[in-house]
Amino acid sequence: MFEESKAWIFIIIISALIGIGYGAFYLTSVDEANLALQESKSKLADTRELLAIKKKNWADVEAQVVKNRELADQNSVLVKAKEVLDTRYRKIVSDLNYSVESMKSAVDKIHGTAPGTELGDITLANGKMLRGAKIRKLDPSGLSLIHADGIGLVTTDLLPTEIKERFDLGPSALLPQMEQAQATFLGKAVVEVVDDSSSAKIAAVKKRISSIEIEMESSTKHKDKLEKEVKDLEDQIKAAEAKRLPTQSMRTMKDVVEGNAGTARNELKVKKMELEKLKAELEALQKKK
Amino acid sequence: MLIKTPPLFFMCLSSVLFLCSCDKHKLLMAERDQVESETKRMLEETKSLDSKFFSLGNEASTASLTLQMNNRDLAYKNTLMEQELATLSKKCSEGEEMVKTLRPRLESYKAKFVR
Repeated sequence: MFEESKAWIFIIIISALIGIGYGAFYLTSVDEANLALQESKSKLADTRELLAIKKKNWADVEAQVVKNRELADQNSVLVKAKEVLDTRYRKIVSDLNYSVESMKSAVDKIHGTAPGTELGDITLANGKMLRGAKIRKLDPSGLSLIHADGIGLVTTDLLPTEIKERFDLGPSALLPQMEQAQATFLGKAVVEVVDDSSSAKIAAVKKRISSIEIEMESSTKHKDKLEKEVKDLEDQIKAAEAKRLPTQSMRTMKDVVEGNAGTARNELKVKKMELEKLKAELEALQKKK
Repeated sequence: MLIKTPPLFFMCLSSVLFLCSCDKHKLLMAERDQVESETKRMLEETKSLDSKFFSLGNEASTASLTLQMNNRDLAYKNTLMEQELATLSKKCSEGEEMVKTLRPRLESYKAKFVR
């Protein structure tokens, strides 16, 4: 049999072995748990980062939705205003058309009944008196009259004011004024058709120049806005890169905005060229005049 | 008998110390569970955000961009419309002024010469 001291040594050794085994097992499991915890923490950090990005995106979307609503409201107000203006415009067109047609029919009637009308004694602008004047024929340039001294064409500038007014003749005639007003309002190129003088051409070129200048002003503002947006996006990309955040969507957006800015710049260039051409044309016309 | 007491003493001491540190594994597991549940909650939140993005018909990365582009187009359209309205309003005022001037002259002419 074992001696007592030997038995103790045996027990100690066995206990130590069991202790070491269990200790090793325990330490391994703690290490594994630690590792798993680290992995979970890392996953949590990634998820948190992803969630923060998505939250930021959603906040952006919400801001854009609010802006979109505001713009849509503004647009509906503008559409309503346009409807009102369109009605107003149609009424004016109808009023002008009615006035012109009514005047035309009145003047036609007066002109139709003019031959044979007795005017009595009339004094012309040059002081000459025509006795027993009677209209023989009405012409745009004047009246062909039969009078005591014979027959003759009296030009409108020599006719008395009341006769000019009655037959709607001369430079102050109402019908041409109305037709001019109607054409101007409807934007018809009446000036070019009726009046081919250099003054009319100058006026047309000036009108085009001012319209291009307005367009250029608006296009310049649009271009500046887009260029500013490109700069802002570049800053945002730099900031995101510094924080190691994804920049793909911002880059795509920057590319799109950059493209739009390029188009706006090109449009502006074309308008500038057209403006220069028109200015040269205007100068030539003015010299010619 | 000389070694009888110290081994017992050391064994008891090491057992007590060892048992005291047994809690560490449990604590780690509990912390891990907590982290996992937090991760799960965040993933659910992410999923809910994704479904919101998809309800808009866009992906998360492009939704804001698409809306921004729409807004820019709409703003540009509004600007153009404002300009158009300003021009139209000016034109209407001019037209009304023309009608206001010409109409009485027409009426007076008709009253005076047309029967």
